Amino acid sequence: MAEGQFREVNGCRLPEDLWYWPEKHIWAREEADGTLVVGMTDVAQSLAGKIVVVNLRSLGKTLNAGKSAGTLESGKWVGAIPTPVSGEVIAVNERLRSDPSLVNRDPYGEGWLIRVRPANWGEDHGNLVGGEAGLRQYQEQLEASGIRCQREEG
Amino acid sequence: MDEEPKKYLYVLTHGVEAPHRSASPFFLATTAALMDHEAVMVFTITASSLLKRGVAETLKVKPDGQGETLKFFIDQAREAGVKFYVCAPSLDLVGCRVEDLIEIDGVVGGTALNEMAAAADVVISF
Repeated sequence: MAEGQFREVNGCRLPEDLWYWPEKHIWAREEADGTLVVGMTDVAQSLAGKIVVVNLRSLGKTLNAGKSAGTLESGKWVGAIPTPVSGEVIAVNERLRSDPSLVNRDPYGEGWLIRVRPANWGEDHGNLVGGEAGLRQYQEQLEASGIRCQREEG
Repeated sequence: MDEEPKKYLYVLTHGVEAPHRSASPFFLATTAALMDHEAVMVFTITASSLLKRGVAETLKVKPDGQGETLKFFIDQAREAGVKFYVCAPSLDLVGCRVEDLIEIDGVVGGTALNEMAAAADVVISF
């Protein structure tokens, strides 16, 4: 778990310092160098169940917002990892190859998925909503859907 | 996008007589669709029986009867944008009509299936 303040909704943790794409359960953290670290939220990992395979084949590619940067598989479930903004994928989390359930255990920390250099972050935040607005939108969505979170231990 | 989307064609030949074979093709097609490829499934021989209305809800994939029904995998594929085509002559084999099926994207005959295979980048048969 990344350090810092977070909100808890239906047992789901939502760190307050992140950008969110609520519909896709994606988070993004703005780094000092202008890149974005992207991952799946606590909500996503709960819905998916224990992740057994992570396919990240997008390194070095330039993707438009919403395009798939890879997939996650949990045995029966498979989901896309859509990139939230247009830009170049400059890193993928190689550790997930050998330890895919890091996504479950530490979705906001060591279970990050990709790092993107946004094409035009100054003007285009893609599908991301930041700050209080993003938290509120995600919170309302979770309350309306009744989704509850649980975490894999160990 | 650097990489052009590819066309994946999945040909299914087994139906309700082999529940344990039913889910994987849907799963693979879903994965392709989620990577922004075009994923098409064609149901022929007895595979058309999987799309009969009311079947997927009760068809357990695992022999021990545990786990998900086929409906979970069909819904997942649909949501990802996978297209379903049914081989027309096979309907007679499994004793049903197009009206008896869940929503599909079309009915094809032998010629069309051959042409779909020729136009695809990848053909996987189950």
